[in-house]
Amino acid sequence: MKSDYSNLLPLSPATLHVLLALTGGDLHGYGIMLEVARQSGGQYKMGPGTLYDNVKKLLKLGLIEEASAESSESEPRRKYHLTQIGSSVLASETERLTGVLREARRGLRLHEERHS
Amino acid sequence: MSNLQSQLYGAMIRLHPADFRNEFGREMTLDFEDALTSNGFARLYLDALLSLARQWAAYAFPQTTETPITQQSLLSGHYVMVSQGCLTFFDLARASILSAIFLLAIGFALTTSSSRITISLQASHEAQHKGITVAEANGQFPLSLQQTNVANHLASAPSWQTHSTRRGVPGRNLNGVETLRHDKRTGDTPSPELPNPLWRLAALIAFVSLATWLLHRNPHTGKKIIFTTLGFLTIAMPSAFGIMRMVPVHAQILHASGPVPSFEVATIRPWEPPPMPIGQPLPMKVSPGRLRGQVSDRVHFVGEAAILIASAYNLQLGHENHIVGAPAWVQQQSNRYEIQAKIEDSLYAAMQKMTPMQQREQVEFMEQSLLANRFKLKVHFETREMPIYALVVAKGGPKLSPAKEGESTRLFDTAESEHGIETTATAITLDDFARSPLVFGGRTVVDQTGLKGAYDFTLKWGREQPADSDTRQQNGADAPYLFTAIQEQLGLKLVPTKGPVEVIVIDHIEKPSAN
Repeated sequence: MKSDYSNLLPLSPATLHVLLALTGGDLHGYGIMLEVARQSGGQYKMGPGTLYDNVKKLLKLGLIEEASAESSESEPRRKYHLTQIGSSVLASETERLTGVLREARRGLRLHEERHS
Repeated sequence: MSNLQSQLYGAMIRLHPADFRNEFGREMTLDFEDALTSNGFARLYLDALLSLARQWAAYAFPQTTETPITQQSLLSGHYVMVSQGCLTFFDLARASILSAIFLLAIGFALTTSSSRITISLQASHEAQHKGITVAEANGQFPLSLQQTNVANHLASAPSWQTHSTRRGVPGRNLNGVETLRHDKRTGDTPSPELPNPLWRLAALIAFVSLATWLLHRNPHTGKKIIFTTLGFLTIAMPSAFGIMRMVPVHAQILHASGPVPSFEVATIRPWEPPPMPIGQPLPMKVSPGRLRGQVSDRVHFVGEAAILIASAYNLQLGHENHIVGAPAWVQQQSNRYEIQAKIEDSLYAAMQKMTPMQQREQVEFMEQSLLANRFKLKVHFETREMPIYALVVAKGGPKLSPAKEGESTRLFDTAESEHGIETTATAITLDDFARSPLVFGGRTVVDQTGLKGAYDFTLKWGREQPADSDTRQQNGADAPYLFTAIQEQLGLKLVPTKGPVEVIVIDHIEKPSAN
């Protein structure tokens, strides 16, 4: 059964980027910050304050969870893992954004045709 | 990485709510250290600041944290959500209250420094009206402070020194100036006075706490209405605070709001100082009242035009520099005028039913009318940033003795010689002292000591400021300059600063026509 996540959409840009960053694997906070910067081509640099504001919300909503710590690390940092719900929400958001993009492209094309 | 930057960021993290700090504080610090080079300190610090605001907002209003991640918090203001649904009634009410709280806090902070000024001016205005009397050497009779002021003005003027009983000492007579403590003696209705700033702060905290407590819950319609009402009320409160606090700045100068009464008859003529034997009382303004046991409806005034204007507009002693735009002759002692005026009988009879404050205002309005008719005086009022003095506690703390039980408030000169003046104060508050007739170079003095209660003290001071202590000893002037004396003997200090002061701007004035 497909769950309805429409009540969680649209995601804020920061939330979207955090979830997107975790699709590549479990990351700790600074890893998420680096991944977000990479995904946005360096245009969006997230600070720790914004990051953990969102991490706190996502943890509470169950979209992410703490990954189990690796004992080999000398200074363990908590890593975060994208949950199944988080993945589904991200998929829903991506679908929504795809629709938005489709509509945007269509609208722009029509606009250009009218003015050409 | 700068240690200072790390400490500043650490301090910012420590300001976060405990649960958030405990859960994410350590990692935020680690991430800050890693990201400092790439993101820059300013951006990271601002980010932490925004996080701080959001977390405390979430702490104060837990409902915001229960909302989906798409729900835009009114406090976060971080992302623009184009598809955000319409704001609910509750959102609007909450936003109103929060905005009002922030405005109130800003208004409180901005006006705190000036509140002392305005409260002082208001109190000064009140005190002038209510309780200051001058005791003449040969008998007690009540006159206004303005009379005291004018007496002091005249006494301090060089041309009067030759006629003063204190020849050789630049004379300013404080003998017998008694400050009565307002309402208890006069029975006048007290003018509204703002409560203590601490009480205002306590009220603010109580309000914020109440609002926070209320907003913890999902309100029903009744509560929503209450929230909205509170929101609108608290929006109005900062404005009201601002207005209330600015009014006293203007209260120093007497403004006429409508037609002003006139004297029945008045004569103005240039005044030439007659030869006066030593011991002769100085000419001064005599307001209607009991003069040597006789009820008088006459006003007698001698002084230069600036003092006449100061008198008519209720300027404080030595504050003629608050009259701006006047031609030179207005200030010249060679251009003094003598005014003799009579109050109309019916008006005088009506004045007998008025309080002393109202009586004095009536006379001042008549003087304004006289100045307008005979001097063709036209003025307007402006508030300008001017030098003032802040009375603060000096290093080492105050050297003041608490007033004894049952003492009346008095500030008077107990001795005066060419070596200095001894001023004794009993049961006087520092606020009273700040607005006492002591001359502080024409500047308003604002009590910022924070010391409450009444005190007794004796101040020995000299009028002239010697170059140094050696000079002082050579000249035989044992008493230090007033400012030094205040610091040395009272443990207080006068600090020059600036503040809003209302001034009288002369638009037009000409020498009076012949009678």
